[in-house]
Amino acid sequence: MSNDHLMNNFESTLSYAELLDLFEKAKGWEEKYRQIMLLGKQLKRPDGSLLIEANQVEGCESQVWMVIQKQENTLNIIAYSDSKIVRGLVGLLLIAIRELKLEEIAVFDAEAFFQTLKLESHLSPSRTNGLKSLIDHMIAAAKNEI
Amino acid sequence: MVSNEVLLEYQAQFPFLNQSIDKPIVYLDSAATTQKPKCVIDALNQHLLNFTANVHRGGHRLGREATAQFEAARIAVQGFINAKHAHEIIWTSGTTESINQLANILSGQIQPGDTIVTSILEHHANFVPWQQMAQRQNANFCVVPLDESQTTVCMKSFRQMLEKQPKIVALSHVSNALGTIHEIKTLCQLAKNAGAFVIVDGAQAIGHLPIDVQALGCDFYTFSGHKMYAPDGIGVLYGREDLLEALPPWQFGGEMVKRVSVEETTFNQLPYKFEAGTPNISAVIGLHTAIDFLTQFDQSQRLTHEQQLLHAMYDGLLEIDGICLLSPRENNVGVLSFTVEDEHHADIAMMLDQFDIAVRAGHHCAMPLMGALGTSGSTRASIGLYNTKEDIDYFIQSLNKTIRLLTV
Ligand SMILES: Cc1ncc(COP(=O)(O)O)c(C=O)c1O
Repeated sequence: MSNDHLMNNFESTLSYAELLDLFEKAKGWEEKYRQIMLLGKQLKRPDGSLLIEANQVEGCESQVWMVIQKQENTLNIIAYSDSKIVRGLVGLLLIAIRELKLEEIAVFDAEAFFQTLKLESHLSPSRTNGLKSLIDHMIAAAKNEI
Repeated sequence: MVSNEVLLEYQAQFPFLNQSIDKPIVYLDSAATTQKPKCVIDALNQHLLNFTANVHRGGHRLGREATAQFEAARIAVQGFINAKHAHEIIWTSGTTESINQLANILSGQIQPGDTIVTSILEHHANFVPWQQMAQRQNANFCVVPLDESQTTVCMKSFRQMLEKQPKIVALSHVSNALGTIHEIKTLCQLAKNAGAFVIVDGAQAIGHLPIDVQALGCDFYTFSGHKMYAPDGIGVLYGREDLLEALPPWQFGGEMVKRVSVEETTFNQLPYKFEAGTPNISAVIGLHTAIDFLTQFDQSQRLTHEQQLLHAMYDGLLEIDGICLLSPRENNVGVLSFTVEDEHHADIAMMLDQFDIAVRAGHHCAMPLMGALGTSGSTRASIGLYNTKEDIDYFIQSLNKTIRLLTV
């Protein structure tokens, strides 16, 4: 982990509570997808120097890059994917941990979070969409920094 | 147009189609593996229930029955691909094993500096074994590029490579990523005239096209059962008798030997010389049933049906903005690979999955080809004989919706 703070590339200001509310109200899978795509749109493409192999999450269908930095008592995560759906899922995750402290991230229950949103099974963290690795890295980084 | 009765007749044979009534799946991934007809499932069951015994070993009644069925399957395959002899049919676990076996038994034929030719359109299974062989033996590895159509091999480059008098030419009959039917007969004849061992990967051809290995003039032809409505875990390596006689076996073990002493071993006759260990007996019997299944239909009618669906799908895709078709419309077994402008193939496939449509996304085990086409992957929809015009219409409609959903 490097020390200079990178610009966060996620522009959504949605709070966790607002997110839950949105998904609660979403009718049907198409609306949920729409929300995911909208979130993904706010995950901006970071500087090309971050999109390198060293920052790549291994073993998924699409490419996923991530850099995790400690920022005060939480994590600054810069992540990106060439898949729009995965970008949206990353957005969901970033909102979920937005208000969390390192100690809370270290025990973050991703499965429970995605269940709360009642997403289709293939939208939950998996090796194929790369989210599983991303979450594993995030939790490991939090544990490491406590 | 194929009559409705004929289509219903195809469909009636696939329990898969009637299984999930609430959420039927539109299966457009037959190039990866085909669904299995009931007769094949039943044949596996019947074999396991009634005739479980090892083949060519025991002298008992069950063993004799199993052996008879096992050898009858070999004769069925011989007929299906018009091989001269049944003992030219070697059982393997699939195309991948067939080609790896070949790359091993042909090793002794390759000297440093020799040339091995394959093409940029190959599945990794018909690419990496030859590349690795070339590295092992210090041979030249020559890869035939695409022609201007970007869908098949460049004949001009191929001819140039043949001037190096390659020892091995390994090409696919049909491209798995694009569906293109290559000019395989011409390619084989040119390669034979140049004095090469000619290997054809028929994995994508076998479930669609009539195959005549003698007319093709290849030395070896390989395919997998699971892409022709048969079980997985069974494949075929066809080899010309005189070559198989002359080449050494690769794997050693039970049934492939004639006599073993502490000092030496003599090998069994063809085809057993190349079949060490207990084979996948039930799958062999399932493969026989799949051949009977396929041959019960009028071949040209079956192909016409698949071609009509292919054309409907191609024309439907052409009408969607931003679609780039990588596959040809003609000379195609029923595989359409495409990319969508600004969209990731994984997103397209994931969204189509939401619509209960099964397609494949990725590099299709053909990374050299994807590189040559300048893409990291594509979405691939492929047709089997059970697909219908409704499947295609629903696919096109859902793909339109998919793109709309992805571009909020
Ligand atoms: C052209 C081609 N060659 C080889 C293979 C490998 O076949 P298998 O996985 O059955 O060994 C495939 C399967 O996708 C194929 O399409």
